[in-house]
Amino acid sequence: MKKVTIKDELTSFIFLKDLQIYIAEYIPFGSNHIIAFNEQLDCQRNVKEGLMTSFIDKEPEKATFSIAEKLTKVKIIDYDPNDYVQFSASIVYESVENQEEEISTYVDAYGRVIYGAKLIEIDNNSDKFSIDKLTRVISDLILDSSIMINNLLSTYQRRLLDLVYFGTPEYRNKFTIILAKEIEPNKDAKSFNDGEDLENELNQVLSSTTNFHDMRNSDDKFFYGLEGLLIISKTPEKYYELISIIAFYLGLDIFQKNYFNKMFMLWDEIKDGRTYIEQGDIDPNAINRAKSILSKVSAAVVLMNELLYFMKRSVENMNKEWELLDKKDPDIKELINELALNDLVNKAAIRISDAQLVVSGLTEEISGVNGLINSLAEKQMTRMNESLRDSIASMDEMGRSSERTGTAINILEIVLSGAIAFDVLTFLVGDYAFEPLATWIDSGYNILIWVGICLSLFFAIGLGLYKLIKYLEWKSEHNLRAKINIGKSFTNNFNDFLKNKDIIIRESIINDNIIEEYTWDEDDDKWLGNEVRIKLRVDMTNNFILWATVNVDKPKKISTNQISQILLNYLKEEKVITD
Amino acid sequence: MTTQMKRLLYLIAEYTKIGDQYGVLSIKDLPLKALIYYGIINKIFDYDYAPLSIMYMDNRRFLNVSQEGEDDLNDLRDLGLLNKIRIATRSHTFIYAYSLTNNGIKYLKEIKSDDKIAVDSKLKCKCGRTYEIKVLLSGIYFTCSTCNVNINSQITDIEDVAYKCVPLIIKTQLTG
Repeated sequence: MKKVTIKDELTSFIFLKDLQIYIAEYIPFGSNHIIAFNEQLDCQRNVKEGLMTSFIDKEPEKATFSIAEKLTKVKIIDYDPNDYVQFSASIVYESVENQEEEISTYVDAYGRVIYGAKLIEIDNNSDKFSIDKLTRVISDLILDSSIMINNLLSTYQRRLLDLVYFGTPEYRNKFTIILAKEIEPNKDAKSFNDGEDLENELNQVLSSTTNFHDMRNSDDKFFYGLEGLLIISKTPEKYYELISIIAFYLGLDIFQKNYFNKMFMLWDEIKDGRTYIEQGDIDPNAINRAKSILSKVSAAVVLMNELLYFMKRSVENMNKEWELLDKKDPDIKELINELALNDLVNKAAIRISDAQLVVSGLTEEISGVNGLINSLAEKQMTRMNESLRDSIASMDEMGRSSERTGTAINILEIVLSGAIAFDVLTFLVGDYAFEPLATWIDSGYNILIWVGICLSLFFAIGLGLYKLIKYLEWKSEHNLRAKINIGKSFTNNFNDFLKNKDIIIRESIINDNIIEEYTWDEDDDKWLGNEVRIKLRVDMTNNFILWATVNVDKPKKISTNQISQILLNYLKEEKVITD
Repeated sequence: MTTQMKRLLYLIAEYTKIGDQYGVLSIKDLPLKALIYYGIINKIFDYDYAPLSIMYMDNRRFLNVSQEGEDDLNDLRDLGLLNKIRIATRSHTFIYAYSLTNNGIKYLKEIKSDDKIAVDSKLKCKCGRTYEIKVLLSGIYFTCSTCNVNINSQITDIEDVAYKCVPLIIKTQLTG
């Protein structure tokens, strides 16, 4: 048994005798799940006991393994391969010696899961149990039953629970039903509604007690709270069948509350996604964030829809069981009326229909946000393409500029070499040391003529160099490129037109529309003796020519305006487009 | 007004004041539960406590909660000394917070210094300041940055009792 670790000295006011505890919850199960569950538990074999775990073998090549996880020891009590299974289970802790916590577990195809235990002893006391200590036992059973069933559920079911209970299904709340034969102090149920010690103790185990009721036709009494029901009866057997139905509906009630909370949280997440989309023009990461949220929410909504299906089937089946319940016993009748169970049963189906509406709305919203993301992503892609085109043009211009710079440097080198040549000449002949020339300059106004000759020579050489630079620059502009936005529908002749072309590159972009790009070369007379490369982009879905580019290598007597005009005339002549 | 109620009122007053001005702030339910529990295990409050599954940081957790403490909070509200305020959370559940009413502030003068000293001794730092209360996934902590103090309230440490139980046969219409 576990050690006692209570830090406080407890003051107990209420004691219960001969206790049976039922803890109920709803877990999505269907017929297929229960068949698989029965197979997993080896129900149909002779050996009906085994250790179960949620451990996954990630090293199939290895012969041995060690396991650190908690194991569930299972012993089959009763089963029907298609409908239900009942087994006793206990968690095998290595750290807790003499563990004597063994509970029965009932699971059926309706998703009704009930854990049952008869309490034998608390703190070596088997006569009567204080509610103070019982609360600790129940919380222990609620936590341990979550661990225990987790080892037996499929990965899919664990994922569903993970979704509904916000990633911490191990702490999920369950509905507790306690049957006791006696209660001390033995007073009317109403007198426990004292607003003080007695009520406080009941609240510990029932979480806010709302109904304190004495049965009119017997000494039975019950106390009903938000998360628990305590029935005091000398003949608890008469309540067994009703308890199994209450367990389903109140377990489902808790599940549905969490389901709704999760659904509203998903709405909030979608709202966050929309906020990111609004920031799409400012924040470059916003689209990725929105996409990530959307993908998470979409996956969750798929599971939420599947959960609805499970709940709907479960409620339909349980309603039949509710109809078949024998309600003749006056105490059963009174309990049903006091707990308003008819109302609870009717509302279970209504709540599922309501949830269906909200989930449908959520699906629509996801589709809307997805459309926004796609349109924004397309916008960003267009911008990126434009910027890429600009940068290619800029790089092209830089390349040409670099060529011009290279030409200028070449000229400078020529000038420099000329200067060196003159220096060499001066070195050889000296500064005007040529006697006849020096004599001629010194006589009369010859000096002015000499200056004129020098200046003329300077301008002649300068002009020559300028012409040379221009020529070299013109040579460096080795191609012309023109982009023509055509934006016209093409006719039926388009395919024939292409057949005559020797297509060297064909690119296809398949999205909502099929976009094709064709590239070919031409060098006939209409291009004024130039060799050209034509690229045509067409929307094949809408029979639309989007644009064309024409590249001319080493252009001869042709301008971009002429290129545009020639191409348009060409397409019209070939009857590919019309006026 | 019992001694427990007076101490509880004074505790809330101390944690919701700014400077010398009482009743300015509201204290959330969860930190208050942690203070009450810490007060119980340090003998400031004569209450019982038991594990209860409640919402904790948008999830469920079992915490040591005193129903008597909760009852006294309701009684203080009935007496017009406390306000209870409801706040929505991101997970679409609600949490509550408490603040002093004007009558509550006036009533503080009636509380004996012995009770105030008892509360101050364990539920405030030695430097005289109230603790900064941090609600983390690992638990609820009382800290004082001036004195470099960090105390775990232990409200999430659920205690075990020794018990023995045997399986029950569960009867439904399917089992017959």
